[in-house]
Amino acid sequence: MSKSNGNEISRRDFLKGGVLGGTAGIMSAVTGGPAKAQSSISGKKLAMVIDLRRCVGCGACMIACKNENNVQENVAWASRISRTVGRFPYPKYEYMPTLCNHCEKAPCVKGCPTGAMHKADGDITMHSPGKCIGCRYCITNCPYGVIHFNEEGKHRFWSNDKPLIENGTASAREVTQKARGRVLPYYNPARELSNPGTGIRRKGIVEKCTFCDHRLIKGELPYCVEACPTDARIFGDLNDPNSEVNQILSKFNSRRLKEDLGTEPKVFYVREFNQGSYEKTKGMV
Amino acid sequence: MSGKTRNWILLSLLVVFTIIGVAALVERMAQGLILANFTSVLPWGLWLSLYIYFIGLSAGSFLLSTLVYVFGVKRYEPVGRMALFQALGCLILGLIFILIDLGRPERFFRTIVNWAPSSVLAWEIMFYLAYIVILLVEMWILLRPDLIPRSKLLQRIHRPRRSTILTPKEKSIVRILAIIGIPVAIGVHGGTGMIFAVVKARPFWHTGLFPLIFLISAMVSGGALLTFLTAFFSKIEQSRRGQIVRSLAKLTATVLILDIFVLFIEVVVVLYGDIPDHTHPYNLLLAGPYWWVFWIVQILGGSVVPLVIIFGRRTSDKLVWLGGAALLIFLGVIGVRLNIVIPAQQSAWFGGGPAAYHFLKNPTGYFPSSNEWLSSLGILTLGVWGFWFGRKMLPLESEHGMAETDVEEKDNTHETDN
Repeated sequence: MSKSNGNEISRRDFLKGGVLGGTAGIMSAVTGGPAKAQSSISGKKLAMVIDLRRCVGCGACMIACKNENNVQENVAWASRISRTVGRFPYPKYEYMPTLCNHCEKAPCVKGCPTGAMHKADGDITMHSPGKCIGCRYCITNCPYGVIHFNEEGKHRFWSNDKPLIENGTASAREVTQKARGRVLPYYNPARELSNPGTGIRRKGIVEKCTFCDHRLIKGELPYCVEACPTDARIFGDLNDPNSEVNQILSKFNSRRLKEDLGTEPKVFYVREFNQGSYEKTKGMV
Repeated sequence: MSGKTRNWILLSLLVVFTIIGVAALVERMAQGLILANFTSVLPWGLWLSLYIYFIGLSAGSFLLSTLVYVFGVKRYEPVGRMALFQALGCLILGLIFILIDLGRPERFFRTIVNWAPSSVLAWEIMFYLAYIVILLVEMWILLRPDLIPRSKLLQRIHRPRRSTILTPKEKSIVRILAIIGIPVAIGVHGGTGMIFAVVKARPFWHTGLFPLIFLISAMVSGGALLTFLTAFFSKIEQSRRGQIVRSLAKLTATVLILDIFVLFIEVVVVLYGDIPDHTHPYNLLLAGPYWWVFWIVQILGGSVVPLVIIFGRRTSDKLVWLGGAALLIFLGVIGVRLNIVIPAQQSAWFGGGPAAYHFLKNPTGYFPSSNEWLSSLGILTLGVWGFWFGRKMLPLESEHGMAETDVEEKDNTHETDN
């Protein structure tokens, strides 16, 4: 049992305990709680809330994602939109972490000619690498630009000629040659759990965020959620009325990207990255 | 320079281009799409544009052929087979283009094995298959009477056949196939337009006019290619050829005007509506970095100049001018296809602008890589070879056809029926 799960249960215990009393709380902890977390994620509608007020824009989610999923340079499953808006003297910096929205009505799933892109347990939008023909129709279909095409072989880094530090270190290619090509790139075998063959990502097909489903089936949170130092990313089941995501969504106005397209994204944004404040005023003509 | 030397120069150029192009194709197969310049933001480039170009040429040519085989327009009878041959050749070229555009070309069969009925693209594959079957069977029945006397191999495997004229039964089969072929061909290219039209993520494509625009410009390109080939490469005797070319050129020009009109409607609606997501790709189209593909290639070279030639008082009679105008239209449609594919993707803002793609160096600035150009060249040279051999080996310009109703035919049909 991971640490995060322990937290989840204790939080649920606390809430239920308040309403139903201690016995019910223990009951849920014994029957529902841990059993559910350990079993599969089917029947759930997994979603993420990103609290922009909590977010400090550190980019830990992006790095964590790359680390966990072997994502190379020029690709970012977990990304961000950052920009400076407004006019001097009152400019405003905005930062918005982005990732696959795992839309309920995902256009990429609808458009995929081979069913490689599909809705999996937990209402996650998943991609079967073995079925993908690399036509990239999903990329054009995605209103959020979060599907990526892997046109490079695995881990281009190891054939790179450029030294990490100019005149200081060897280049990655030299290292590989010294080891007679036996250098194994870093790769996370855990990814094999949910979708065999994705441990090392393949060339010639598309790829995208999986909500770290290899962790979900073990009852662990997506790694970007785990890594977020300010708990700005909150993960949970929309079908469960008591889940943290539902509690937060009931408290704040939430928005999703391009809601008018009817894709029903499951990544919700609450509050403002740069909330600021102002003196009480009625303005002037 | 004599004709012979010129031919030799052209042939050696073709050989050189073929070698370079095939080498580029081999390189692309060996190394994969890393050789291409498209990105995850702009995933469809030159190859996909040429794919819809050739599929359009194919469907347009087929629909032209139905003028002969369904609607019985006798005037076009001599070029009917050429139109069908064009349809087949361009379809093959188009499919090669989409094949090399796939990240995993060796898995193309998965579109059939793992057929996903919710996908327009998957339905499109079914249309392509039906279309290939119809084309092959129709061509086989049409060419068979002329083909058998030519080929010793066919004489050995096929039962003997005295007549070189189609029997009434064969004629009705051709007619039925061509009739079935009309909705299938419309499905083939209207459906290709539908692939784009259903993409709600790109407002530029997301319009009901798109399948229509695809079909109309397909007719334009198919007609232009047929006019060009008839004007310069046909063995039909001069006066009759002139008649056909003039008529085809006028037909093509009329459809081209319709094409421009539909485009005009779309541009006006979009610019008048002034929705940023929608106008941005049009701004890129009309005044972006590739403004010249629209104004010079599509409008000036591909529409205005050829229209002036085709309807001009001095030029509308001359075969060479009309053939040249047709070539211009034919090339202009390449611009049409590029303009469909590229600007829509260049304006992929996703709410965040380029900021959403901080990890890519030049996310929306697409220019085809050398390999993209050279492999396209290779596929085009394959098309030229195909045309050359097809014209040599197949009876594409026989005088016999659907319209033939002389006494001799009746006798012959009597014999074959027995």
